Amino acid sequence: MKWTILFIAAMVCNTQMHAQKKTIFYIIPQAGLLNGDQFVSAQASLTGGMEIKGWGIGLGAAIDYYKVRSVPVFADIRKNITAGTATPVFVYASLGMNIAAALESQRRHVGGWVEQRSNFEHGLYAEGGIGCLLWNTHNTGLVLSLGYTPKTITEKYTENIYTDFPPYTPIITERKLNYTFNRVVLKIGVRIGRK
Amino acid sequence: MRKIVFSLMTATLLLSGCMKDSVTEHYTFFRPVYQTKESVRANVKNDIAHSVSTPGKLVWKDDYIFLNDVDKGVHIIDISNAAQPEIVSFISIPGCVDLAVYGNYLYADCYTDLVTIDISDPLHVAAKQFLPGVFPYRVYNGFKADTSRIIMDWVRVDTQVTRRFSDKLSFPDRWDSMVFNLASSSSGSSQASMAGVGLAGSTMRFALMNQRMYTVSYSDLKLFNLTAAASPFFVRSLALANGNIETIFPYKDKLFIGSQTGMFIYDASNPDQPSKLGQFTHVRSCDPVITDGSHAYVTLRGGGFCGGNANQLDVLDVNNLLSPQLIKSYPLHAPSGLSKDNQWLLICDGTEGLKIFDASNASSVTLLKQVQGFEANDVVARNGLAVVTAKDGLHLIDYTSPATAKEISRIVITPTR
Repeated sequence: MKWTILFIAAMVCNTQMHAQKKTIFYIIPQAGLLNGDQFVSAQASLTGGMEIKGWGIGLGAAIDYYKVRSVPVFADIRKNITAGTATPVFVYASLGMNIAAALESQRRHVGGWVEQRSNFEHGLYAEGGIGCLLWNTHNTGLVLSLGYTPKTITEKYTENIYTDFPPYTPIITERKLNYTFNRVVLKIGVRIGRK
Repeated sequence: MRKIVFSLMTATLLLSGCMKDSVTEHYTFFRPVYQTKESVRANVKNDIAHSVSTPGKLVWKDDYIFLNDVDKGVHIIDISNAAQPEIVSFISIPGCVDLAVYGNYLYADCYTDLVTIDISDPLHVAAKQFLPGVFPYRVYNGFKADTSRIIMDWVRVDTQVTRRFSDKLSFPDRWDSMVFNLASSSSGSSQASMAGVGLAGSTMRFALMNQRMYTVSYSDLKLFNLTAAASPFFVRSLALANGNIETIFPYKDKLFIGSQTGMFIYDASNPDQPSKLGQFTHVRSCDPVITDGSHAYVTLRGGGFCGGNANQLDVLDVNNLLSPQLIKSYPLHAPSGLSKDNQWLLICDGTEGLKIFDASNASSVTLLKQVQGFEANDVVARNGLAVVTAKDGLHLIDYTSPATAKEISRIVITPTR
């Protein structure tokens, strides 16, 4: 992840120095509807980057409420595949870290007499899909996209196994649950671009 | 525009049906190893003397200590020379955690059964009778013992399972239920009121009185008639409504029952109809109890599966059995079993070893000596000799002069798990 960010930062600096008129900087705030396994939830994201010769590269972050709340932080790449048309169509892909930010109600109760709850660890986040830019005026317009986005997250907690056999002392073990959530995401947002 | 929106919505709906969440769960469980009842019973016999692996409860009769090796059987230890105790024999009793000795007979649980063993010759014991299913509520991690097969051992299994995860992860304010089992493995000393009765620890679940054996489990009191010692029979069972029962201690014709939340006194002057007299409640903790007739001594140990935080000795006035009154509480480290010999009160206090108190004045119980170097769990004491079970073995303490009490010998255990 660290190397990905450094690489993108270097790219941005390099491009800044050789900026031409065809470089477009953009930000895309979006709201997403996440459809998964018998569960529907929402996501809000913000992606920023620059576009050169139909290729966009940037960074983004989101807040994702699907089953376990998390904050994906990702690198984003997109390609305009119908340049010059009134309604440009693009494909995009994102990859990054899924930072665990579980709600208190999503952490299970563990332990007996002492209040304890499970902990979540970060996982991976990815997204890929296709979209279009509607009412495109001066690189600004409405973005609609449809994609597939998996995210992983790990839940951990210790549990005491109370034994009825020697040595009769509770045996402390760790229970680990690696979740993989697969969703279809339908996003709507606004692309604001400036040359 | 409409076409695009319609296409995206349709695709979303169609594709979402293909989405499956999964969870890979890594966890540990214990798998039982079974044996048939017939083969278990056939194995109740003498075995060669071997080292102790998990010391449990103990009974002292004559020159012998009958020491339970949890779930394995009973070691017979000759302490006629206390400076050189010797394990002379081992009686294999699978599933044994409680025992009592009356005359030439040893009564022990064998998983859900009660077995009667003739120990007149400790080197050639013989199982005389099995009373099947009299302890049906022995719980193993949440499930009851099979009536036709017996769990001989548990094998640890670390595993991972991947499955579909369609649930919503949401845990509103509630507590997960927990399984607490019936294990009790500390001790103290009881006064025998029948000739030939072995001196047992304060955390025993078996008590002998008036040719009866009383046993307690989580929430009931069972009564066995020992008039024919070789072939006891089950008489009746009484529900103990409060539950969380841990120990039973007989004194004259009274039964002192320790639970995690209090002490209950039962009158057994009619041996077959024990009736409740009084009770004393305290904070939740592990709770063995003994009495000398006028006072009851209750150790409270917090933490562990008993819960609570109290670690103390409660001294109660039990002259009025209908209404025991607390005289004073004394702070301790992590007390468990206790025993009383005249005015000397001996308490196992966890890692702080064995503590010997002068209890001649109940309002001012004073520490005389602390014998350290082991994690004490259970004790029986008489005539200046205390036998202590500890995490690392069996310790024999000479307290003929309590202020200078010292360890005179030990039998070191060999853990197997």
